[in-house]
Amino acid sequence: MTYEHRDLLLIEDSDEHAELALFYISEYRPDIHVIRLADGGVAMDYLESVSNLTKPLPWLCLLDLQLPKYDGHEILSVIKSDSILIKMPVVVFTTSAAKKDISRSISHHANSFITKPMGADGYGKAIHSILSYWELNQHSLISLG
Amino acid sequence: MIQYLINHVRLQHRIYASFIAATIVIVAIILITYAVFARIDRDLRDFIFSSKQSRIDLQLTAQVAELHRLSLTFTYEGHRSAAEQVTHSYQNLMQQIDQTLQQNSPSVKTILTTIKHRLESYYMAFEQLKQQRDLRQQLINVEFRNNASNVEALINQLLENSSNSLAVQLEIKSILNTLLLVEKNVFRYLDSLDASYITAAQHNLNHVVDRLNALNQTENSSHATIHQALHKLDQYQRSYIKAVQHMRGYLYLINVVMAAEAYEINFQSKKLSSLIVSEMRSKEESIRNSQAEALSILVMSASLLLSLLIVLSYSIGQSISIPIMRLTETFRQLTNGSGNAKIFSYPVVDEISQLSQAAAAFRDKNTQTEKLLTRSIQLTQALEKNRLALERSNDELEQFVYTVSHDLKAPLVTSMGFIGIIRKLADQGKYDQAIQKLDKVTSSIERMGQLTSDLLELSRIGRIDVDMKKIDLNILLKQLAHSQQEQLQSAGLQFIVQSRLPVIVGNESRILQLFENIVSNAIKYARNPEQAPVLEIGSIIEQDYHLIYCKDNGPGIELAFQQKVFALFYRLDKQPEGTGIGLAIAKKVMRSHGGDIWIESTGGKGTTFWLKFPIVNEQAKEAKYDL
Amino acid sequence: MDRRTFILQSGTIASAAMTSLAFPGIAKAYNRKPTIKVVGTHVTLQESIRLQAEKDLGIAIEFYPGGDAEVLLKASTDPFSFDVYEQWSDSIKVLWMANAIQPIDIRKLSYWEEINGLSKNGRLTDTAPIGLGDSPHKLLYLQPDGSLGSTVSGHVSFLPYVHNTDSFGYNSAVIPQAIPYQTESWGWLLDERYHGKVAIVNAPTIGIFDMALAAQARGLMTFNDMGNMSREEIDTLFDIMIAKKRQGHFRGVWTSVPHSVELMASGEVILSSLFSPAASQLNGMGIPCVYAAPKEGYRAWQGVMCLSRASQGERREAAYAFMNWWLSGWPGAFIARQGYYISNPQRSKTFMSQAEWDYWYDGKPATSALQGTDGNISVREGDIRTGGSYTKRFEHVAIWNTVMATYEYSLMKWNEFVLS
Repeated sequence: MTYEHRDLLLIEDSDEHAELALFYISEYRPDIHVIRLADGGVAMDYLESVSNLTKPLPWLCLLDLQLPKYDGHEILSVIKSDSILIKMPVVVFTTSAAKKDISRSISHHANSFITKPMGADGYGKAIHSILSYWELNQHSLISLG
Repeated sequence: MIQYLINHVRLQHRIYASFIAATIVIVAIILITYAVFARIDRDLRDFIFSSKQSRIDLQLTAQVAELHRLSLTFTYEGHRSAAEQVTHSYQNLMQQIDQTLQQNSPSVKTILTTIKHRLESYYMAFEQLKQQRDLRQQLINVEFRNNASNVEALINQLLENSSNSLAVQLEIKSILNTLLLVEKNVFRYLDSLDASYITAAQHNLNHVVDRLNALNQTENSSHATIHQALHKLDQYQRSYIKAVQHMRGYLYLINVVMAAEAYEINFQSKKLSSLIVSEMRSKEESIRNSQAEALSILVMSASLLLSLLIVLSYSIGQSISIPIMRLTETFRQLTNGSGNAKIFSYPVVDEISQLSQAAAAFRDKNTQTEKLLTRSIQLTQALEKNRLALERSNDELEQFVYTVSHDLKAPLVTSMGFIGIIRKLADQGKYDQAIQKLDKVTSSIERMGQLTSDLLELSRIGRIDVDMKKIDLNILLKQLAHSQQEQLQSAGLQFIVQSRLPVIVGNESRILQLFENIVSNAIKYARNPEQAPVLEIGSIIEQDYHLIYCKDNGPGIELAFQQKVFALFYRLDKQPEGTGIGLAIAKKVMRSHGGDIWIESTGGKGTTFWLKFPIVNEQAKEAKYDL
Repeated sequence: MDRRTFILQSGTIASAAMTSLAFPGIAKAYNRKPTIKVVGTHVTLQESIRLQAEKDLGIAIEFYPGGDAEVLLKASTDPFSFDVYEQWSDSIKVLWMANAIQPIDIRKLSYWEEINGLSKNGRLTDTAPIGLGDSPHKLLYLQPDGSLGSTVSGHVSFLPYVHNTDSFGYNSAVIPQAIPYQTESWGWLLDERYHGKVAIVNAPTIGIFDMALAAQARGLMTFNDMGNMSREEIDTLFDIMIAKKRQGHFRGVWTSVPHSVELMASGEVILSSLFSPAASQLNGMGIPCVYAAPKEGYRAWQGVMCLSRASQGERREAAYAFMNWWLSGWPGAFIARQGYYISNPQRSKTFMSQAEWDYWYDGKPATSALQGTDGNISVREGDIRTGGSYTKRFEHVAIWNTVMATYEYSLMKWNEFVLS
């Protein structure tokens, strides 16, 4: 099995959470290149360069909601209103399980909403499932060319 | 008047009064009209009557002429029927005059009375005439003839007695012839009314007497007869003289007395006629005048009465409609809920005053309703305010809970996640790596503890801080600089506090915490690559507020984030030191002091925090607390 | 001013005539005193006179006044109805012919000699003309043949006493006053200027002469003898009068003195044949009435006293006494104050003041105000009687009141005139 080069956009302010995600991503699919963006402002800058095609469109985006400067909802609405960025699936991956956040994210066309699990093994399983699911998904055929 | 009616006469009575007034006026006008027309009618009747009478002279003249003609007929012809007709005509005329007398003016009456007296005189003269004429007839037809035949008989007797002498016989025959001439002359007189025949008759008779006297001298034997004859002759003469005198008497009556009366009647009739005509003229004039006068009286009185009626009905109408209009206006206002609608009071007890009382009651109810409504609105407003406050509080609470749950879960997720990694590393035998990861768990839990205590602090603000007092900011900030001296020095931050800062009212520990947060913020973020970081605090006064500024020369905050920074757990970057609660606390403190906090910053040129405190007078007012 | 008031009042004729035919119980009036009945007109049958006479004579006197025609009828047909008859000379013929009166014995007339020439000769002075018609002297003396004439005899048919001259009156406020005997004329009665305002007395024996004098004065006709007109003359005269009357010239005829006064006073009439009392009365009322002295002369009348044929014995003596009393002075003075003259004025003069005499008889201005018989002032001081003195007036007699032979005829013409 050959692995295509895949960029995963991890927008996460918490270093600890980012470390957890990287740990499990690298464990499960070491080929995935994780681009971690630590706050909203950096994320916006990056996304803009993607939008103007200076950077490639990532395969998948894990988006935390609680972010400095711009929060996840704002970033999501930017992504889903951009003709380029919209092709990138966005999995909202957050500690929040609030209905408000869920409905708002869905209405902003989030492709998934996953709450970060609390259990010791939960976090790894969640990362694993996300990656497996989106591995099965054929969206990369149009998004990545 | 209107006011008087309103104040003194009951409504019903006013309405009745207007009807009665109208009725009276109408009746009065009818009566005046009737009187006026009755007068004109009377005048007109008079006039017509007069016009009928105006030719009374012709009627009277004709009738009197006829009367006199009949009288003359009787006088000369002796027809009884003519005399009867005279009487009849006279009675007719008198009757007419009497009738006319009953209905005429004084001057007409005077003339008519004169005419009447003339007519009476005329008729009396006629009666006299009849008597005398009858007497004459009697004298001529009976006495005169008897005497004539007596005398003749005596003279014939004389002739028989004295048959001895032819001369005597001739003389006696001559006497007899002369005697017959007497009779003849008398009748000639009666026929011709020529007095000379009577003179002749008288002459004849004297002649007879003379010759008989002479005969008496010669004829002794016939003394007695002659004497007797002379005596009879005397009677004979007397009878025709009497007849002549009676005749002259009645001729005088008819031709002089009665003629004059008849003429006078005619004259007076003419006078009467012209009087009536002139009276008619004056009547005509007076009718015209009285008509004009009557008409003007009618018009004037009618218009006067009508204007009176108009004034009266206007007054009464106004006296009715004004209160009703007032009441209508009052009720209109009342139905609009007015509680101070003007209500006129009416001293007379009637429907209007009762309505006014009802309106007053209505107004009282309105006033009460208004009060209740005001109260209700106040209550509703208060309720709404409370509801909004509650809602806001709920939102804040929800936000708080949400934020808290998210941010508190984050260290949990972290610690549990690293525990999972640790376990996995331990399973793989990578113990060193696993132990390394334990620090992560520890720091995560510590962070959770810090979060918890910060949240506790936030929740206390506005709930527990009731200890308000005057705070001299000059002193407070001096103390703060002193206590933070170490941190300030290590950060290299120049802390400048302007003099003459205001004295405010507030909770000292909260205000201090506020400024600590600002200072710590400055220490954390005010890093300037070109200059040494500076934090300057000063104040200005704007309107009713003290505005405190805290100005640094750091990188500044973009406009987009100037509001967000005050939100709970919001951080502008992922500095490990901050929990994202400090500015939320600052906002809450300012709000709890009736003031506010906001940021003024232009990117790259530092940040200024503006703190707004209300200016409090000497008597420190109790600060109002929003929930 | 009750003089001669009812001289011709027709109403009185009628009413009094009724009683005249049967005098109520005259005989019963007899008592101790001799009683005489006097029939006559109101001119002389005045109560003051009767009372004075009764007083003076000691006899009872009954007055039976009446209208002219009435009293004449009475007297001429019933001599028993009176002892003394007082009227005008124009009734003498009738009475004499009717044998109603007896001749009066001159020897029994106390003042016969004093009676002036007017009634004895027909004129007062020798130069005066004798008036036309039956001048009283022509009927005075009893002639041997039983007729009446002017030839003096021992008996007279009447005792002359009251007399006067008549003319016409005019309102000087309307008609300018003219000169007596010169410019005043009977012709005025037919003058066009007075059209419609002329009146005539309603008495044919008087009025006819007024009209005749007027017609003659105006030259409308002449008379053979005005005092004895023929039927033709009467026809001509009445033709003139009737034509005038039809033209409306005459207001009418008057039948009594008050009537004439009323006509003049009302202004209906400004010129009328009048009796002198009417003129006095009008002046008293303030109507300036001039009693004219026509240049043609007056129409005069002579009052007469006759003795009834039936009056005999004691009553005849009493009647003589009464007749003599009339000329005894007092009655003449009395009647003078009413404007009448008496046949023996000198005897009356002693019963009058000088002022009265001067005014009434001498034609001089009144030297003082004079009282009438009623006691009222009838003449103001300075007044002059129109026509002048007694003598002057009776020197101007044109005609005497006369009953002509054409009397009956004139009556019928009069009727025509009055009613035309």
